[in-house]
Amino acid sequence: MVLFRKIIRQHCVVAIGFLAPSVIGFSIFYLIPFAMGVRYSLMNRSNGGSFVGLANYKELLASDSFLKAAKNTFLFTSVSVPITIALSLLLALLLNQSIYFRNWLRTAYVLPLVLPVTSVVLIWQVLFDWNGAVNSWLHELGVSRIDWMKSEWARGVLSIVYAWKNIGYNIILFLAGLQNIPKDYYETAELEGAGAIRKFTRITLVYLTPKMFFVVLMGLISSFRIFRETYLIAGDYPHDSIYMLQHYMNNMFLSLDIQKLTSAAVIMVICLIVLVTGMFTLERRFTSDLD
Amino acid sequence: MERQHNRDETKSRKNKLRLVFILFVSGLLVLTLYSNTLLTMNLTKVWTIVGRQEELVQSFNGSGMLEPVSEVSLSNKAGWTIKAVKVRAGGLVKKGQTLVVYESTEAENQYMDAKVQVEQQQLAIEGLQDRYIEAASSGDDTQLRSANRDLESARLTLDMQRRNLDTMKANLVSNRELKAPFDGIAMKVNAVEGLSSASAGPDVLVASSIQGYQFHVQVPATISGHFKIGRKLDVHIGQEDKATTVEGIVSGMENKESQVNIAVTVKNEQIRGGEQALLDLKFVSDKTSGILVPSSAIHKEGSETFVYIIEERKGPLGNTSHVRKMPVKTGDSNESETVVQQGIFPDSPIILQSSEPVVTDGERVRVMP
Amino acid sequence: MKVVMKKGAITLLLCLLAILLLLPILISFTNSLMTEQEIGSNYDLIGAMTDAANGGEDAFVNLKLIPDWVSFEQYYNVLIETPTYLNLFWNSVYMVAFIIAGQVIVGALAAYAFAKLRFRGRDQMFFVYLITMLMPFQVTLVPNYIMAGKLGLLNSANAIILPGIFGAFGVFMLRQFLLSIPNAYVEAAHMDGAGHSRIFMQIILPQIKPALAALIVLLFVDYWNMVEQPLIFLDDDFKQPLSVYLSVIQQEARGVGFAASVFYMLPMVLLFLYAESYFIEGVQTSGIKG
Repeated sequence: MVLFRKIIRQHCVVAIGFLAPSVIGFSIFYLIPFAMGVRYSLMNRSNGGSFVGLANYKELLASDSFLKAAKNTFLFTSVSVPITIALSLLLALLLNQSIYFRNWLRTAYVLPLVLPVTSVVLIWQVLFDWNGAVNSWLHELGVSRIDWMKSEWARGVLSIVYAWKNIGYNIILFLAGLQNIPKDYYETAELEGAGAIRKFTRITLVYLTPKMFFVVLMGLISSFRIFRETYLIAGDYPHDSIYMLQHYMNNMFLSLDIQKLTSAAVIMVICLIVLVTGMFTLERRFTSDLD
Repeated sequence: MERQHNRDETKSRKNKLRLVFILFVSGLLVLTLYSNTLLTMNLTKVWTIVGRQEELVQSFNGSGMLEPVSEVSLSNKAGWTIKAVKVRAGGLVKKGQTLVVYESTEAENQYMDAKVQVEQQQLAIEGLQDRYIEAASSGDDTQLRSANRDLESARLTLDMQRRNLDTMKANLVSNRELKAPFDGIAMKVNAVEGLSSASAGPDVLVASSIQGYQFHVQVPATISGHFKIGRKLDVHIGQEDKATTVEGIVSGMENKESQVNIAVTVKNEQIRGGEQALLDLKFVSDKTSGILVPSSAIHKEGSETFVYIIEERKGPLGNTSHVRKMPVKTGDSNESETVVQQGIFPDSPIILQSSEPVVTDGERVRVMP
Repeated sequence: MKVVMKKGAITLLLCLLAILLLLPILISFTNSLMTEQEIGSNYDLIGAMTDAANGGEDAFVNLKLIPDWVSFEQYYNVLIETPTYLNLFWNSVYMVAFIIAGQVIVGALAAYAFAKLRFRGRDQMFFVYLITMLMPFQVTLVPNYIMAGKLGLLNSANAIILPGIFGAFGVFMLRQFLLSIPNAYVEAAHMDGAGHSRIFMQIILPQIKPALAALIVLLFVDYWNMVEQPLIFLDDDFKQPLSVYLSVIQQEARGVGFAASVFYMLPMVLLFLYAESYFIEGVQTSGIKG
């Protein structure tokens, strides 16, 4: 016990040395700005204002556009991210079969990641414009055209673009997980007469779950990044169905409504904390179950 | 064995990729330099100048021959023969001074003759009076009227002759001598003793010394504004080494297209007329009136006067220079520079010269040092 | 025989999907070889409102994969005629190079502390990093802007580079990877009397190459495409990275947009292909532990 304490004390000194550059910079560019943001969200003006408690939050929660943005962000994250993960898992399973050109295919699935934003936006326009290619294909099939970006369909389009960009990354992660599952587990299960579905749920899923934490985190990050493309294609005010919290915050920044922006930011971060804590708890419980 | 083979393959692939990457980056570097240079080379080159905030110095040099302002030619009206010349050319004369004396003998004789005629007429009148008295006493009415008419006629003739005589006397007095009408200088004396008057031009040319001398110069319209009637100027007279400076006054101005004729009057006792008079003037305009810009940088199109200036714009290549057309209001100018009163800032770089004959508003250009 | 059939069928399915996924890249590439005129005639309907009432029922853009006439006109424009693209390209290179180098160094050091050292508050601190990593850029937009102003960074590339260097992603990713390295290595070295800096340099660094490769690729992809930060922090057009300029011009110059995208994509593709095996290994290993 004494030895353990000594190690901790020793490590503490070393840790300061290793962490110092990161912590200093991280504080200056992320932590302190965020703390400032929290402070602004409690004031009525950012310069020399007075403390108004939660008034800004009340106002924010009464604002339709914030609620709309929050709802959209929540919907997009809670629908598109899982769907994309499921799709990636499916593809990973297929890739994990014995097939030809596995490495080539894997590379092909990851490549969309490296396509520049501009290209994405250009092709997005070409495909999903009112006069775009997708509508022309629909026309050939005798279906009347759809205004993809100016209707509820926009949400779907956004999800497709999101999936297209991130699927490869998830596949790589899942493939690693799949390859780490010992083959004899499946063999044992087969001997016990388990079907494909049972094998999947009882073995594959169980062993992949620890990976999920990472995959979901990465999925969250990239789901927030899809704003970049949306912003470039539809500007400050896209169709209502894809008006995200980032749009809202961006517009508040442009209209210099600092209070609303910072309050929205704080709410978003609180949600993130809740989400991540929840995931941690789940994961911990799951790991202990597994053991 | 298989693994070794795989690793070699990966290694050679990596080497290839590395080569491609290096080629790509160096290719882009070369292209960056090349395209930037190409672009800069193709731009119109311009040379600029910044206007000076100084006073405009307008200089003027002009010369003219001094001539008397007023001059009279004097001769004998009757064309008499010259008896004596009392003046020499260039000499000062006073008003009333005798200049030339004329031969008057002939005129005097005529006068004497006329005088005799008057006396004779008086005698004739006396005879007629006697006849009248005779006729009156005879009572012959016809004879009386005739005698009266004759008498009246003779009296009229006498009056006429008397008037003639007076005229001749006055002429005789005035023509006998030529007198100076005012103070001045005998500019020319043509009179020669023994010859008749005005046989070679006027006998004497007298210039008034009160009104002085004048000369004419032509002044470009751009600086004519500095001249006003009555303005005093320094006039240099004579040759360089022994020039004297005297005061002159602008006495007349006359517009002539792009130039203005100006007469300057000089009064000085030394002047005899015919000297070369020289103006060497510098006009300095107000310092605050504007910016001095070379006249060649100022363009005119119809009623519009403008200059092209260089405007720095922030561009992807750093700052780029663009042409901007600025309408200006101009003031005075001299042969090389013009005052710009309005339209540009003192530190605006003005395009003085460009490699292409025409630059257009907004065009990107290369500013040469 | 049945096995071969199944293998072939799955391969075919996956190939078709791969082609679908690669279609945008293919479109970018083939369209970049079209003439400006062809691009114009193919895509001028984008953004136009046509409908049946206007008699435009059948009017659509003409998405083609094969150019009528292969032309390098767009490339000539991007690479030679207009130096703007290349100049901004170097801006991108400059910023991204510093960000990657910085974040890799700073991140590796911090990750070592988080993964291999025991100290009080470690997990809480890491949690803060994790949350920050998830926050979209807009969350700290205003305070960041004010901070950059106070530090005199506005309108300077440093306003992008410095926050980039201290991004939490590198710490997170490398920490995940380090967790997979058994502590026994570190402890054994410690027993031999090696200090932590020596352990870090001689034992850890050589082992985390795949993670570094993965981090470099991911950071490169992310920052190579940045748009929001430069738009907010950089006023001068000539300081912007090419990604911003391309996203601004692509509306009016589609043809150039395709060529520029392809040329902008190349470094990413080359880097990816070069580091692919490491990248995949790095991504996979860092995802093993939660």
